[in-house]
Amino acid sequence: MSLIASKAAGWSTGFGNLLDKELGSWWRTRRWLVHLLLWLGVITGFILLVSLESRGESTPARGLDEVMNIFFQAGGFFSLVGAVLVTQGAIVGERSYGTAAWVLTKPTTRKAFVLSKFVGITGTFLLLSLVIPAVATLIVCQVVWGLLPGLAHFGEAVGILALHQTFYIALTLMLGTLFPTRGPVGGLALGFWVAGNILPNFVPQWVTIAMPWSLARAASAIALWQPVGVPLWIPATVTAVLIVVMLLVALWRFEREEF
Amino acid sequence: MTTSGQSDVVIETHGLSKSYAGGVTALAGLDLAVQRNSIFGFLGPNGAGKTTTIKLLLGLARPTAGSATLFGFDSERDTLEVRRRIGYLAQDPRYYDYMTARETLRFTAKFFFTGPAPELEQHIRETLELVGLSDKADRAIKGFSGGERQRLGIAQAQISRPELLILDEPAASLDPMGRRDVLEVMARLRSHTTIFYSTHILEDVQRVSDTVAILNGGKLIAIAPIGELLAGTGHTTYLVELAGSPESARRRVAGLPWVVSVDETAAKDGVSWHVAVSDDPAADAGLLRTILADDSVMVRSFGRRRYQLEDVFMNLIEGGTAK
Repeated sequence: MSLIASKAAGWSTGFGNLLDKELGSWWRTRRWLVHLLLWLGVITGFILLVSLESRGESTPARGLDEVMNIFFQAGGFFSLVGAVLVTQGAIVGERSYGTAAWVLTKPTTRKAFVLSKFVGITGTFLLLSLVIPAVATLIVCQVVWGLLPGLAHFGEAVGILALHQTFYIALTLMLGTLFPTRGPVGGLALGFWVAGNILPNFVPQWVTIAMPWSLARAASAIALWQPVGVPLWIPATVTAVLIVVMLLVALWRFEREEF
Repeated sequence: MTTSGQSDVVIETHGLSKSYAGGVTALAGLDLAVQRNSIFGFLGPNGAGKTTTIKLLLGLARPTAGSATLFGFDSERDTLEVRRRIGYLAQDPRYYDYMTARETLRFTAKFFFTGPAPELEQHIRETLELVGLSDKADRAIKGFSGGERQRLGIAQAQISRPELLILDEPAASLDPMGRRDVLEVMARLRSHTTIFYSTHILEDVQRVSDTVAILNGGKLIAIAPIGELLAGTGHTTYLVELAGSPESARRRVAGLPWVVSVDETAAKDGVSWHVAVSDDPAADAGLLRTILADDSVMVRSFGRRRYQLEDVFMNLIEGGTAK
């Protein structure tokens, strides 16, 4: 039997192979383990320490609230910074090192190149920095406090936070197609988060409510059974639309890139 | 639509040009035709536009004017079809350092083949063997030497059994042994592949190429089969080294009807003549006899001048013609 030549055509040519490579850079190296230990240590480890510390002085209900607060506030922030740091070199690094030019001499498309990065990073990073620490956090709640948060609420809150982090991954990826070095890419992505904390003092409230910034606060509120304060569909829809727009900008810009 | 299979021309460019903002012209109106199954040497000093041309052919950059077709496909519009038929080795090849050589070849091969897996793995094994990397196949390429990277580069470039191999300075960073290996692989592949390669190592070009193009300052200044290029002006030239008093012998030689010119330069303990002739058999039979007939000169050496590509290259680059 002889080799079968690929007959793939269209924008997705090579996407599967590129995605496999992207996932391989995590799962076929020790990178996944490093990240898993890092996020379990930073998020769940911290929650465990605080829980053990306050177990004698607090009621289980208050302890659970504290755990949720830490997971969605501190954990969410660290995971966001991690998302930006992980993504900032995805395009810039490959372009400056020369691997992007090499890959793009093969029968694949630039769209497949960018989208494989988005899918690979988003899927893997959210699993390692959010989903697994979330499960570990539930275990801590059960073991240390003897009770669990409402799982539907908790799941919804994790989903909202995942959308929030996905926004930053898409933003950083888009910036990577616009700037030649990591500095402005990471700086502007994190700057956007900082802006979300400053802008409410200067712009009408509906602007900040509609933007992705309110998702992190909403996730925390949902987990704590507190009123969200805004119709959740507004920032969720705006964020999803922005993710699509940023990906389209990234694809448009990368299509015009010269090596 | 492709003309692949019918046409003997694999690469064709018409007025291919590339300029950058600020008025820098990297390539100006390149017209080129590369024949199937040839080894086409693309020569030029640094900054001549060799790598720019290759990037335009591969769709990594866009021309500002003109066009290029490969196998009848437009390099811009049909870039996917073009890249299906090409193997490429960059000047400074970069791969994913965490991958092994085998993983790199597997990753590359999967762009071209869908399977079956056992045949694909067998093909990868054979390719690793071809370039002498079998014993390092499962080592991360992070620790590879320059020569090993270059051999991996050749392996990944030809793993798809391409109809055209484009090599950008394939032997530039190699030691003499590595260079010899690369040239041998190129010679082996020519039976089923066209090889288009850029280089500044003239000796390599002379050894393996059958057609040469010389580029300088973004402009094509010569393109010809290697034999034709080495023939220089079209006249055969004899190199004669003499001692004694050559004046009368020179007058006699210059007066021969088939002698085009006699250029004299000073040499150690005598002079050297470059005698250009228009009739080779007559010169073979009569030139040395004519000189020896003069008792006032002694002939130290005599023979047809064998031009090196370096002579031709330097003359063309400096604006002259091959002597």
